[in-house]
Amino acid sequence: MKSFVKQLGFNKIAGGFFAFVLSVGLVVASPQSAYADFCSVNGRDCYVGYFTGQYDNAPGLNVLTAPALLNVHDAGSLVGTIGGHLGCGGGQVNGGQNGVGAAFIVLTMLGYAPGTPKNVACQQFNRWAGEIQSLAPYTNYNVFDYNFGGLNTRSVTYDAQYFQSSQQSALSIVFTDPNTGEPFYAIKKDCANPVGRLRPIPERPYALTPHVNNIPDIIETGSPVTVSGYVNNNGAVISRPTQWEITQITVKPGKKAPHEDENATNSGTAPCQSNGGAASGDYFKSGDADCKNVDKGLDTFNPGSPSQNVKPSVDIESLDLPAGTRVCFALSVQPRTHNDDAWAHSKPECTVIGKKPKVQIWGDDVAVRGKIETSRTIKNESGASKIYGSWVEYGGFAVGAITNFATGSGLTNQSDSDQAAWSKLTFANRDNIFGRYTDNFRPAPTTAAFFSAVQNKQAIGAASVDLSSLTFKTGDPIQVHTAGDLIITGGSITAGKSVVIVASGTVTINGNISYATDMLHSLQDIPQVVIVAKDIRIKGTIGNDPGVGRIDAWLVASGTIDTCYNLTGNLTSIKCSNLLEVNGPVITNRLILNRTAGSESAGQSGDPAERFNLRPDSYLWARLNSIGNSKAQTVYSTELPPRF
Amino acid sequence: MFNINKKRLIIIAAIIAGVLIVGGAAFGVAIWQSGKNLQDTEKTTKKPVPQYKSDQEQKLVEDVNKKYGAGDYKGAIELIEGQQNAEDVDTQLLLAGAYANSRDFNKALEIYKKIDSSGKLPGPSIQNMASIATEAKDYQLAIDLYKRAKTFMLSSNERNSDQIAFYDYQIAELGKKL
Repeated sequence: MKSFVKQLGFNKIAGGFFAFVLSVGLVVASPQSAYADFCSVNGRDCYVGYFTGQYDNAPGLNVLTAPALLNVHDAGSLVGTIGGHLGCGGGQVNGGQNGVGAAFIVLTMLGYAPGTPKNVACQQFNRWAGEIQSLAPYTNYNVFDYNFGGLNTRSVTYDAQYFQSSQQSALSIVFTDPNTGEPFYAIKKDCANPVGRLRPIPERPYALTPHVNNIPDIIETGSPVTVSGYVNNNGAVISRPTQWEITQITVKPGKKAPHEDENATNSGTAPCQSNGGAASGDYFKSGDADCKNVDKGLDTFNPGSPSQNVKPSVDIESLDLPAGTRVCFALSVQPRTHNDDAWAHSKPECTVIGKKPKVQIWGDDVAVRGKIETSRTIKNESGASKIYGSWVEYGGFAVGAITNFATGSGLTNQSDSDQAAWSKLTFANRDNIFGRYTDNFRPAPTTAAFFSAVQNKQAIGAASVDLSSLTFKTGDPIQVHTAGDLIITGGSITAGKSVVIVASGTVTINGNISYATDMLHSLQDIPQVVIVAKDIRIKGTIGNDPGVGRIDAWLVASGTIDTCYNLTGNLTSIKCSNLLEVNGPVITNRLILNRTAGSESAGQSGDPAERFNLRPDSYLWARLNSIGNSKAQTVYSTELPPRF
Repeated sequence: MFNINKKRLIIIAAIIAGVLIVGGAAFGVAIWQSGKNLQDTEKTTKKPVPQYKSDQEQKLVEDVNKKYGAGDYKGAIELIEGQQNAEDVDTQLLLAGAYANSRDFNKALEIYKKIDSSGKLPGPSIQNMASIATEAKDYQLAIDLYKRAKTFMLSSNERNSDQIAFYDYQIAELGKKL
């Protein structure tokens, strides 16, 4: 027994000696390998430089010098601190401990492999800063005792290394994965050493799709327009900082904007450089269209369709472009996804610069047994509102409502958009509605009956006539020329001549009818034309045909007066585009105003398309023929208020 | 009549002593049992938490960090306090960190003081205790701890001149608050 124990004791000593030798040998043979596995989880062995790959176990320093990140409590201050240390003058990271340390933080957060040149941090700084900002809701800038398990980082001024420290926990900034809620990167605040297992900023998938909406089909030239856009973010996370641009595309009439028929496109090309847009292209420019940037910004878009926190929009004061011009708007965003830096462009939404033609009635009232409804235009001219529309010089009478139609020349230099401001001679306004002259409305004049009753009639005997061949001497008994349907090619009526036509059918006026402009010395010198018909239609400008611009005549129709009978297809600003002046009374059952002249921009905004002017020569000629007297006698005079 | 001989006297005395010993032991067991019942009662009223063995310490740390990420500091505290090895130094340090992260710096400092007074506070944790003492506004204690941290750093093979400069800075700044 004793000898057995002794034997055991000897063997134990020998065995212990060999074990000691072996363990020491292991330690001496590979001093690094004891740490290699511990640090290599971050891509480098312990004490091996991230940038150079060199082993260096000299005494280390902190990644950043004091105060490191002790004063960093939010994304903005982190970005500012790291950016300040990077420098990046000329695209170069500042030399020394802090520049190297800042570059290490930027590149490891973005997932760049060890060995990446440190100046790449300058190229990627904006991207890193954007990620830090968007990670703000998932970052705790003051975790007081974050346990990182001893995997630490240090600086050797020219590089950064991982090492195993005895310190296991410290005050840290901790970034958490928005997808999983797990910490993926942490930085000790007192030294800015990234600590623990370092994972790059996780991919948070999202895609942005921009749209433009609520563009009206037609906008009057010189009118303001609001361009509203929105962006769909189909991900579950806030987007990276994203630049957005609204582009105005001016298209030639009859042409299309680039990509107008495409629903939301992606491209590496920026939307439009002009007027401050991003410089890398002109996606919305072509031979048929010009473009310019009208608004831009830099925002993050919350998840949602649409994203609710940012809805790009811009108010454009005045689209002062010729009628017929097509104008389109598009919204573009970049980067379009979490991992694609291309632009996403909306489908262009388009409007047409149009007109709201106007009518003016001079020298008399307007009386309508129905309603009067016209358009109103509000324009911004040099910062002030101006109102344009249709108007009558004197009174307005309608059984129905009068809407947007001014009386008493109320729209002259008008800036008040309230109809009450320009309806001083609107009657009778029952029930607080403009117009509504419902009691004892004036009877229709019996003009047609008067001339139809004239015994001295002669048939014209031709389908087409120049009125100058049908005249009689003013002051002589009225001679009525009769017809069924009749085409009037025009007529220049000299002083002292009159024409009266009574047609049972349609009178078509294809040329100007004008009175002589000689000095008149008596009532008998007054030229005058009276046209009584079932329907009267007047030729307008279509293509190269100039149409009729002036009619000096009474127009009396039991049916319809059409100011542009030769219109075909849809009415556009290039059809029926000449002004029609009618100098004489107009009596009709139905009045079709199809002219499109006037309503241009600036000072021509209020120019009418048709102007009806009841001049004193009509009164005097009528008076002459009613009393058979060659004199106009003043029987009384009265003071009237001034009319301006 | 009462002439009991010596042998019988010894037997009687032994019987009395035996009764006393057995009775005392029984009484002691009863006391111990009631104490144990009380502990068991306390354990059954606490929410059960997953248990981590001694070789799963890193997993515990990871799960605690996950709770920090979710802002669930109360959950982190409950998880740590519910461990059967909650009294281990490493677990106590983790618990102190959880209290600090929940902004209960006084409770965190209390745990650190208990560990320190037992002589078991690791050198690298002195700095953490100092920062918590600062938050708990015990500035003199914080100064003393930063000085100890500096001494530890100077003697450590992880000596770092930047960190030493940091300790000096903190000592100076805290001195202004006294």
